[in-house]
Amino acid sequence: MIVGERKPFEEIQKLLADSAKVLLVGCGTCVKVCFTGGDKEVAVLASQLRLAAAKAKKKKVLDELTVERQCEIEFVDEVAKRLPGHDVILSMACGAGVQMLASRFPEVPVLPAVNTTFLGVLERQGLFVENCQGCGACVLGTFGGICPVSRCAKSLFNGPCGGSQGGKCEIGGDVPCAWHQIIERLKKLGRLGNLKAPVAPKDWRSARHGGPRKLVREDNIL
Amino acid sequence: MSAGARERTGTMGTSRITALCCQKALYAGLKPEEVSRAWIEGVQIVETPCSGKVDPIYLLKAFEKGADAVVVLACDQRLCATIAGAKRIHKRVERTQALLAEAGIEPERLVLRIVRRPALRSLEALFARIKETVAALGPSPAR
Repeated sequence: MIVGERKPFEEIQKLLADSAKVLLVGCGTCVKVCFTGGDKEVAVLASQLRLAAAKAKKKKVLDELTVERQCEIEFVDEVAKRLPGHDVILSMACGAGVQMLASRFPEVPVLPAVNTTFLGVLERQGLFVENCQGCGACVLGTFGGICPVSRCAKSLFNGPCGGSQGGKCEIGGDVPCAWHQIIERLKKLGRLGNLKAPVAPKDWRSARHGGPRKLVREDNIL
Repeated sequence: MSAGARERTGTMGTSRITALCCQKALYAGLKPEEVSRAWIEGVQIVETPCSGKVDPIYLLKAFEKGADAVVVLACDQRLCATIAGAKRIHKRVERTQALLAEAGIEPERLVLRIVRRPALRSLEALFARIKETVAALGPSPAR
């Protein structure tokens, strides 16, 4: 899933300083799962903004709406019915959702309430960790299901480096050494042979380095 | 939430307190004839099936609706009939206090009280100190 964190409250207040009627739009998919931008989080942020406005004796109308996903136009279209009369949209989706709203409703400013951070998993209750960078050329099959691109600080393909100590990465903060994990995993799988020959340097053209990417599925287009 | 809101009318002029109370914390162990509606002057009591039902949004909404203070009454974690409900409420109250502080509302207006069951008999004493705190803080700035 895409993981994000809500922006600091002060920053959100500054974004909305000149807005009198705000439509807060949440997303029911990734950001709901990481407790950042779903219906509950929309309700909480709206409530906080109302309390802050009441304290400042300012009039601010905050309406709430959550759609299934802000990254799909058919769900984003639902916002059209509620939008009239609002002077700004505050989106609690990831950056992709914010941009989808902005392109669908170009006549209204669409502001982000969330900082999109990474692609990752829920490792255990309350802990979301990054484990994919969308590099476009997945090598997880070679490395026992542990990604050296996202989980090695240096994105090495022929690790570990000399900084790997006691299974930990030299960057500190108790970060596990991905290469230690890769080797242990391949040992368990009986596939250490995957590392016999040096792995060729990564071709980064399939990653973001090659420019914004797209996927076209002609078979899905009527 | 269970529709157990009780409020004594005509006496809400000074401080307004909303209390979300676990039903078991209020009444557990009492005979049916001993159970009376929980009421304290100036306090709106909302009964919940467990303190674990209480979400931050309920607490924030209570302030939006004009509460000067919000109290959550919960059972001791070891006595929680839903196992983890009373465990959750501690962190939720902490989080909501942080959310209130962000919005410029004093976090001490939100109070968590762990009570021995049944709390019904000691409600006056429980709320007496809370009322003093609220009186010192004054009306909610969001009112």
